[in-house]
Amino acid sequence: MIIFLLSFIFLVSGTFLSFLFKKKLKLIIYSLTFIITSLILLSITLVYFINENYFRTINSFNNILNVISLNNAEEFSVLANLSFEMTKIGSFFIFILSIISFCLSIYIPFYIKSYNISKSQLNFHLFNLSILLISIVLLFLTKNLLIFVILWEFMGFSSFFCIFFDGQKTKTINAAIQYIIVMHISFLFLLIGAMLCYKFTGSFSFDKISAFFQQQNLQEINIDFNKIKIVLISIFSLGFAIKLGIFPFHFWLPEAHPASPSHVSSFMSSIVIKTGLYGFFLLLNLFGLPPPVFSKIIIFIGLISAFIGIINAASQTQIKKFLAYSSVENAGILLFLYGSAIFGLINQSYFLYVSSLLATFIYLLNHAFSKSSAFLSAGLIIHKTENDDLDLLGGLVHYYPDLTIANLFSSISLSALPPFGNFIGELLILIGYSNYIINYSFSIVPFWVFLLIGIIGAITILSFTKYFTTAFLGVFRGKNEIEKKKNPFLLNISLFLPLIFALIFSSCFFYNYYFKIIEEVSLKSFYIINDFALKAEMIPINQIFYSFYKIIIIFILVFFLFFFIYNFIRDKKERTWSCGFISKKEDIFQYTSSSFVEPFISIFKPLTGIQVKRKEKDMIFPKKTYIETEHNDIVNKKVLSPIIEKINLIFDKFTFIQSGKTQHYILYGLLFLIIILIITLIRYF
Amino acid sequence: MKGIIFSLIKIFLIIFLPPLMIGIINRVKTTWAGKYGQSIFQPFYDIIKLIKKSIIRSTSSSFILKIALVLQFISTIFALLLIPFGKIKPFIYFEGDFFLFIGLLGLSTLSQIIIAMESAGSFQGMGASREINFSIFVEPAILLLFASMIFYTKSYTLNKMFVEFAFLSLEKIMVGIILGVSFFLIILIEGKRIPIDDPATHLELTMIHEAMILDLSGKDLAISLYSGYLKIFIFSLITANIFIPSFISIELSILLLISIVLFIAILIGFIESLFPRVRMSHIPDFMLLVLSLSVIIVALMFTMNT
Repeated sequence: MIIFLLSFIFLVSGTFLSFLFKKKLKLIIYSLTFIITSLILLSITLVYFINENYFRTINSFNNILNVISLNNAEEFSVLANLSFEMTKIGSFFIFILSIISFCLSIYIPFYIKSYNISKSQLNFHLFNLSILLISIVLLFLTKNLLIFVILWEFMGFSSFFCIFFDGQKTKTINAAIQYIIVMHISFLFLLIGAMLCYKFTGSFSFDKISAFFQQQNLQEINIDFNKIKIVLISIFSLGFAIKLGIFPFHFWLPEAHPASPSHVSSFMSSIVIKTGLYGFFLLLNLFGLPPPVFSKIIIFIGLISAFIGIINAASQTQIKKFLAYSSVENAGILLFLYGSAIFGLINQSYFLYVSSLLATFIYLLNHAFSKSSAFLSAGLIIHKTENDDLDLLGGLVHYYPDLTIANLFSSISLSALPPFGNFIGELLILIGYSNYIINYSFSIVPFWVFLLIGIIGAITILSFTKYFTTAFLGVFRGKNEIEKKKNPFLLNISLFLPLIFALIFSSCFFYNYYFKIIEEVSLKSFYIINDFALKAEMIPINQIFYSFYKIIIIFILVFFLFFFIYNFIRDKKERTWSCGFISKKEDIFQYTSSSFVEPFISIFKPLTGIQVKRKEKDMIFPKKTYIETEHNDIVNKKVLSPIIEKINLIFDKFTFIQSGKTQHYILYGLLFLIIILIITLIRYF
Repeated sequence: MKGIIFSLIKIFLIIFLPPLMIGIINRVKTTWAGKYGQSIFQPFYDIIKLIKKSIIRSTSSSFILKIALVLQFISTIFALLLIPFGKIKPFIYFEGDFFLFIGLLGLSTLSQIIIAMESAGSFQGMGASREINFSIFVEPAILLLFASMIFYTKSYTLNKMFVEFAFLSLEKIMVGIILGVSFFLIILIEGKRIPIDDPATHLELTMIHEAMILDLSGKDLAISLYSGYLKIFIFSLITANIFIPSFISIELSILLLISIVLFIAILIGFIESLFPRVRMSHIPDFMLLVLSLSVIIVALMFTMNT
């Protein structure tokens, strides 16, 4: 804990130190401190994974706190329980966080250099980034519900200010305000949940809450207790689902991502959103197994969310909106994986339980890394070509080959194709459900899963081929000129490093570490699983993946061999034959991304929220026609805007109060005082 | 020793059968039209001719094209290596390989789209768009069919799933026939044969698959064509495997397999000569037909087992 504290102090002091300097030097100093902090965090997690006992002995920070608060423990019961502890699942999240912040710290100086903003704004932004990092790390370490909620609020506020980076644009302001409102709704749910928890259990400490619920679990089934548990779980789940961006609450994601600078959206989608999933794991820890219906509801909601997310992603032509919707899909899949773990546990299929938890962690890791890389390169594209519309991009491979390769790999990874972790996650979950089909009585759930995973997988391939092929291949469609420039080597590291790590850490050689996390999660969820039974399920999964990786390695070797040979064959270059049509500009006949997905939109139109407006004049010989495409998320369109309109209608009736005359306002104050006086008098009598 | 002979047979079949199937389809079509027609080995000659030729690539293409071509070929080959040949085990198998099969097919689709979009042409883009948009219902259909096979054979390696599926009860006979029919329809979809796409058409606006490879030439075209042949062969193998009973000997099973595959080729030839191509706007309905067939199997299992 002391190392953590020291690293935080180092980070904050480095941030403040960087304030003293001018822009270039400031960024360099800041990124250096960020790099060192993330390396410290990384080394802590690695040491913890290798030998966890090392940290148990050095828990002096907690001891000091305990000593301080011991004298009046009764009065400061909140403080007495204030403790931070490394858990395996927490350290797994910190591990991902540290690698991503390492890449970001390399990226930030190159990226922010181009922004034209004032010194104080930049200082404020950098400060907020540091606070965001610290609050998330502490969030994964804390063992106190109240502290958890407070850190949640810290995280929400600092990420809000991070999004607000170039706050001159109205779009940015709107998106940021929407974000902060949504995050506060999430915070409100968590706060209510925490208060209720305190009311029932008398403590904010994780240990005490879980001990209380464990005790209740062991006793005879108490109906009241079960009701409390269901209410608590559903309140907390709502709060976490909003953060994770699950279907009815996903509307803030596609607004917030395009508004924020790329390093922030990378950080948001790779780690800030994932705190919601950490929260879901926390629920298992606090309240134990949820009621059986809950698992099916979670599976259903997760899959529906993934479905809606990927349909919207496929129909988008704006790069960042597309990536944001793809995040919605991935969050949905993650929730579904978590739900199927509970489903397996409730139905006592430990194989499904283990495989889906393993799938969750691999999927999470791979998605975080690949999405981070994708967002970073999207930021570079937008910055270099000065537009974010896929219809106006194209042919970027001729200008930025290194960006293209990074995006090819991240597209393959995110569209759940082998050999990346998203594919392995889906493979694991399907193996788990196949095992369930074989060994347990007939249930319709696995077949639903097979069907929806198939559809989602196919549409994912569609949306990522759309993204990659229209942005990078062919000929540039825009009107402005872009210069051919190679990325600096350091910048390329920040794009490729996450992808390489994603490939390495989702391979079977690290599964033993994942199994350790699974063991911890299952021990903490106090559902009595025989440790031996758990291990028995782990061995076949390991074996399956050793043979899988043999094939993948052979595949990669054969691929490189063929490519090596094929690369030597010479070719001539000619213009593409386009039915005899010849023009000076090559792109005039190219397919754009909106025409690429046009057949798709015609199938799924009601779910995409896309409206095509044609302004045609009724003339015998029409001269010009205009076509406009508008996108409005279905939740925004069907649910939110009617509600907001109605609220506005109600408040419109009170506009007469704001008359603009000072006398009136003084009168209101007087009226208020009189009303207060009357109320107190009534109470007195 | 036997193992080596069998693997030699498999390699021979992988090289020899896919173009032969196309040759037979073309021959059946020409015979039906009353022409003498080309030799059934014509696809071989075509591919050999293409390999000898030099390559002309579009000015808009880049090194990604080479990556995509190789990736398409290798991933299709690896998908084929997962399928058993009758009772001969496939080259590679492990528990859960059915999803690797689907992943590899997805990889080959992705690279096919990349190849098309590299040329910056309108027809190529149109073909790519149609190909990927119309195939979104096929992947879930294949997965559901596999799920039903997993339920009946109690195993989830492709090898066992196909070998142990037997027509023993009324339920299994019904399921087996639906499986066979839907996999046969998937051959037509994935192979881009007639109700979906006409490989012999002359008009680019009605093409799907042919439009995508319009700009390829020489060795590039040979690789792309052969990968397409392999796709047809893969799904014919799957269809044939369903109908091969598990009690016959290995030698007999391989003979049966070859004859069923050739029969499928003749059947495709008949269909191509008798039916017209479906209208472009009706193709999604045809895809939904396959998906609904697979849903019917699940409904059947649901009624029989609960």
